[in-house]
Amino acid sequence: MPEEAAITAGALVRVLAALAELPIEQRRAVLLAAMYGRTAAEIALSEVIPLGTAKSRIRTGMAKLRKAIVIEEASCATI
Amino acid sequence: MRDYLGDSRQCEPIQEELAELAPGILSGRRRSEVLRHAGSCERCSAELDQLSIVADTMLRLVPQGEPPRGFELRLAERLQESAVERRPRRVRRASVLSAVAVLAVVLGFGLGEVATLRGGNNQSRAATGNLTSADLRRHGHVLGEVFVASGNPAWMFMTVDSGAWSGAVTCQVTLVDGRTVAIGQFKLSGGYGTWGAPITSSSQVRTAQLVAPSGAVIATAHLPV
Repeated sequence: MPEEAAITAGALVRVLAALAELPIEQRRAVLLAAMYGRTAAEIALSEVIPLGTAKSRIRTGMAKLRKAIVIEEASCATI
Repeated sequence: MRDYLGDSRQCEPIQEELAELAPGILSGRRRSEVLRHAGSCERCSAELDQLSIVADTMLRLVPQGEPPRGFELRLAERLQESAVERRPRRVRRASVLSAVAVLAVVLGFGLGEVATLRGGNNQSRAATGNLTSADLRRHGHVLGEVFVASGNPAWMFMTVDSGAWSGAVTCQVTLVDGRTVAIGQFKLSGGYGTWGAPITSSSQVRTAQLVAPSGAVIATAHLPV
């Protein structure tokens, strides 16, 4: 479906861009949570950090990625 | 029925957990409590929808089936490499490299292969079914990267993380028919800047260039045919 494809392409690029901008510790936490289903407790254990810190990294990282997809779409450049 | 738009006292602890609910890593009991709240709160429901799009988008980057043996270790090593790098610009390059490494997962490449692809090839570039990338180079030096996602509309994203330019620059593309078209402007600050926009067609683009206000081409990316 074209509309669905457009959303996916835009979201993909924006999320990737925002992911590249995340501080390394937030990017690790978000990748492990969203791509590998690691819980905050598992991330805390593997990163050797307090549970609250792991939760905070997931929350902050995901919030930044969320902002990346809700920015108003720019007008389409005609080529 | 959603009976309120969100009381900040009630929403605050819930919103902290939405980021864990969206990728499905929240424990069962908390999951049902947060879901119950989101079902009656427009603000939290909207935030959950957006976080779910993020989580779903990231899931699209995971290879189908089980990751190759050692994948997570290599991913962790790649991330660790950028963590220990002290020079800011190198960190930024490593950040972009990590994003490219994630893209490569879509391609089915291992991370080592991606490093080879980027490190040893003068016209380093990669392509997926719907995503293409190429280094943005000036005299052989990588200043940044260009991503093109096909679709309707297609998307182009340009990131610059090296060099010394500051001020307005233009993203210009050359098309398969030889035409050159300026498609967007953005600002560089000390060699850093990003820009992205939907474009009407990705298949026509052959090169993307970073152009100074004088018209001089700062850097060029050759996209895969």
